[in-house]
Amino acid sequence: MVETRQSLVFNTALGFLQNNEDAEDVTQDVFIKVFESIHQFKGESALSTWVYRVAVTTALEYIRRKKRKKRFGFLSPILGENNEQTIELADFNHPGVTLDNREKSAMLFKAIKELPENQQIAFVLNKVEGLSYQEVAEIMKTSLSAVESLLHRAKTNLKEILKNFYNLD
Amino acid sequence: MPQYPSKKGIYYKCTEYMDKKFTSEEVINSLEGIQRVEGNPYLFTRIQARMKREESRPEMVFFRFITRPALALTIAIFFIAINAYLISNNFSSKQSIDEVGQPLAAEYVQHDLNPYETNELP
Repeated sequence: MVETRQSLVFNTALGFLQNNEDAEDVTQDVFIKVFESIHQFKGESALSTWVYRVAVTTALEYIRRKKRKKRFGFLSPILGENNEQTIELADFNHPGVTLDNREKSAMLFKAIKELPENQQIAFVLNKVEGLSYQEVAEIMKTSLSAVESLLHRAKTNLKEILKNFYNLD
Repeated sequence: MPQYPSKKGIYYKCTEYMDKKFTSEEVINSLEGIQRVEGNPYLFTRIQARMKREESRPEMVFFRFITRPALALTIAIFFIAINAYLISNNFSSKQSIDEVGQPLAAEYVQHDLNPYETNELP
């Protein structure tokens, strides 16, 4: 199972985290979670849908944890926590993007980070993972029309972010 | 250096793309034809090693034991049986009180315990 779903989990994590090392960490976490809770899988959906769900949740948890760490970073010397630095990485260049789209996709990935979580999930699953609206709806446990609306709002927000961010028309 | 405020009010310094003229639509559609990426070739080995490590952790062994469906079912049946036993026991003890109490009450009714009668002078 790990062998067959490894690419699926890694690519989903990469879409959200935009960093290879973090995506690898999350991939490991996802398989541990799947391994620990496989008995909870009731077979109501396809196994890959369930794995996608675990991957999305774990990736978002990882982002939240990282943001929290960054926000309360000033407390770590007082609390005596591991002084791991949270470095803001440079623009993300997805290795799967065609060469002539690299610059544009780097701008897009930066803008995706600014989207609300549910719009981010819908957009990444649809545009990066190439899943259909139906598949996205199953993963997000929502209706097809809700996914359509989420993607529409995501695109509107992305245009706004890109306009503010890069002064694009 | 021009700065553009984001929606959340955070200021970004954008110098890298200032001279590039893309439309936002072009940027949004830039993920078309995106290919899947192969992760680190050692990732699979690392996942397997971590899974084995997790499996051998004593708390994991305990966790797996207590979350087994058979164990959960057995515990549930055990509690239901205890409850059923206690309820039936309670019911039968009520019955036995009634069995003793009814003739006693009948006797009292027959003899009609009137306080005036009992305190009657001989």
